Amino acid sequence: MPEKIQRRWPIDMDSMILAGILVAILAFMGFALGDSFFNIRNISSMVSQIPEFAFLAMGMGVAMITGGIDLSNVAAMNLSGIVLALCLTSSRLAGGVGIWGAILIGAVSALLVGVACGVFNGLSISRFGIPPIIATLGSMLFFSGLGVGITNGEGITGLPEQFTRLINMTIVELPPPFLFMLAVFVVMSILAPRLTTGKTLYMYGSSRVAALFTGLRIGKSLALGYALSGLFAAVSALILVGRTNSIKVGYGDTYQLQAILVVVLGGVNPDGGKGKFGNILVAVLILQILQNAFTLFMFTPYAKKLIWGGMLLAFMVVRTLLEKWSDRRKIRARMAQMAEGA
Amino acid sequence: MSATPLVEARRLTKTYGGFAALDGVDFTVMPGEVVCLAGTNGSGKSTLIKCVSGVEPIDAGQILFSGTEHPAITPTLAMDEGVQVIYQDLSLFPDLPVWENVCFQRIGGEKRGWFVKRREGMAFATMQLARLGVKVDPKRRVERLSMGERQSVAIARALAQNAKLVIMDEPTTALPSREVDALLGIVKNLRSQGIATIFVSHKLDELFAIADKITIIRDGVKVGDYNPADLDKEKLGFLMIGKKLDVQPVDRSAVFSGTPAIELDNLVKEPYYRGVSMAVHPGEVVGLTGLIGSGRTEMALSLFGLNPPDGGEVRRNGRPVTVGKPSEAIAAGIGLVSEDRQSQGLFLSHPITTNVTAAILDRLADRFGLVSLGRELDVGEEWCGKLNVRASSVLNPAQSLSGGNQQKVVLAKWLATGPDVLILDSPTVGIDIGSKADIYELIKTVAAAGKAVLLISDEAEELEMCANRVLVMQSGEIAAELAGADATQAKILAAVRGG
Repeated sequence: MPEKIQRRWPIDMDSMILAGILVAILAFMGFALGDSFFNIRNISSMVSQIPEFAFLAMGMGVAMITGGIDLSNVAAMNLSGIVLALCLTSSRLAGGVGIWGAILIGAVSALLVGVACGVFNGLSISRFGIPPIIATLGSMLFFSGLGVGITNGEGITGLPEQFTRLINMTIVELPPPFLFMLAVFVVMSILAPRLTTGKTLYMYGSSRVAALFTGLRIGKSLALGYALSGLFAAVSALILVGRTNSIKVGYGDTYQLQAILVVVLGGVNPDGGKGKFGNILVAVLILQILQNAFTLFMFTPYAKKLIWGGMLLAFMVVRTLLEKWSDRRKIRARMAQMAEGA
Repeated sequence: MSATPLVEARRLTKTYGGFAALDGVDFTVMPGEVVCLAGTNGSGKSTLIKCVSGVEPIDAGQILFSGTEHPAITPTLAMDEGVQVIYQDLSLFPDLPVWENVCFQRIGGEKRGWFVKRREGMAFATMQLARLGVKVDPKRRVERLSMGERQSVAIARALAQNAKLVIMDEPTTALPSREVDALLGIVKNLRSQGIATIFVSHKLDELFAIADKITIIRDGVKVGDYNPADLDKEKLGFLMIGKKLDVQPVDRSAVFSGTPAIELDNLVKEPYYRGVSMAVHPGEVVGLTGLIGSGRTEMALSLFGLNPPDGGEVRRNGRPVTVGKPSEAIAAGIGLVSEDRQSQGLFLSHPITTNVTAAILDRLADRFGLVSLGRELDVGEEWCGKLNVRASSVLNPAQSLSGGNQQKVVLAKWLATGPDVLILDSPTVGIDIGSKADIYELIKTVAAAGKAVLLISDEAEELEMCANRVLVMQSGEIAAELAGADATQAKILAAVRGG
């Protein structure tokens, strides 16, 4: 080697920007809302609302890193939530294996349903070459349709309180779903870029053609990736059902747009190949704080929708501008390097 | 010469972040002159073109158009002065017909009215194409044209904007040899009409075929202006890289026998190729050439599992194998360095190490499927060292490398899989002669290590240098085999053209 090779990671611009935004928003909240924001009740209500959405966002993140999208994850969440609620409210099941047995069977079935939904998406994308946006749009309608078919479109309520108490208890003031979510974020941040499947998906997102010409196991990896998205949707269903003590097709529909928003805000390239789960977590926190602020400011739901949509577009514009700017810097640096090395 | 130069650059200097890409370069183009710019990648050729066409502002020096100095050169000013650049991607609209591409400036430009005057526009486009001596139906859509025809359209578009100087940046890289001749003919036509050309190419033959003057740049400094009659290839190469290139041609007397590493028996894939039989022995480099569309790339893809054959048999070490997808090819010990390194070979935005290890992830992973960063870095550094990849860090993205180094990374990716059979499809396209020499050496080292190499190439010189024998494909069949003293450049070229 003519030059010495440095083992050094480049500084991650996205993480710095996100951390900056988070701090700025917290400061603004402290300034504008003071105690009505920073009080135990408000914060603990936020903390209990975050996990179900964060898992959906993580699933969306996996799909978007592959250069795809998962429009069906809220529908998958509803479907697995319905399966869970049916198990929990079935007196025959509870009579046979006891209430805790029913909870266990319900939870496992719900997770399996989520994984099945994801594998269904993954196969229709990798085996049949359907573009992800179309494949998951179709499966979204399909999953919701199934849910309506099972429930006649009616809500299921009156779940055993053993289950809701399990989800809503606190460990050192923090609910278990929140702690679990933090743990999963840490695991995903560390493992996703290091596991062979994860690496394959990042590379596939960066260039499908090169992935093919490199002989990567694309079909298997995509199926696993979307299965993970489905699994996260099911985890989200467990939390949602436990928190609201009910489930109905159409629950959490607003999460779909917000999940895309938050993943893009977290610096995942919508064209695929790039994205960090740690950054998605920061983006989830930012979104939740803003959400909370909108409630405290008493914005109407219409105003909220308007703001979310506007934010998504505005963020993409800012991102493109930033990228152009850094591309220009990179080109300059590259030219300089070439001039030096020629 | 007493005439006023069309473009005159005096003491041109351009720096990027402290490094001089151009350092005091004098450069002139006379009306109607064909100037060839020669230099290795990163020597400053592209920067010079960008400065002359106003894309990059200059730091010091002057650029005069027809003897007039301008305080600052913008792309618009350069175009008004008749400077037109034809970039490699040609920047055409593939969905639009030829005539709209040729006169789009008029359609969307100042002279526009409410309606597009179709008949007038077609006549105008036909006239511009006729000036090039080219006949293309102005109603055809550009996406249906051959690469050579597209190039003609791009040049005609330049003429439609009153070009006095046409700058062509590596125009022949993507062209098959028949169309290269046609392009050189066009440049001569332009010269006879008083239109000057700056021609950049890595293929030295082309420079000698058309240049009135060869300007050589090295490390941002002009080496000199030369009359092509005073240079030969060796001397030109020496002036470009500043040292003598020492590539020994392959030993033709070597005889390979025994069980071939890979053997094709009557392989068929309609409509691309049929009845293809050949064998490559361990340690042997077999060259494969033919026009684009002769079926050579399609056959290479078949061996790699991307275009499974309809019939026939492939044998590895005497045993029949079926390769249905690339992962099976890797398992069978076959690697393919594909034709288009930017889109097929590399994950451009990913680090060099990731690219080097991409095909051996399964082998690097522990039993949980985890690949440790240290392991990945070690492998990346090891191969970058072996292949002499020039990069300040193996964590830099692959897109930050020059063409030659990018190709070395792709080669590293495949060598890391430890293949017995390595297929190289056009491995030196768009690579300067310094890096080319490195890659030729590498091919020899790989063969000497007992691997079978199938080298697909358009360049007869490359085949003469590297291949023990050369197969020529024509319309999907192997038309000729040239071995020993027969594998000369002249005979290869004749066989390719159907002689």
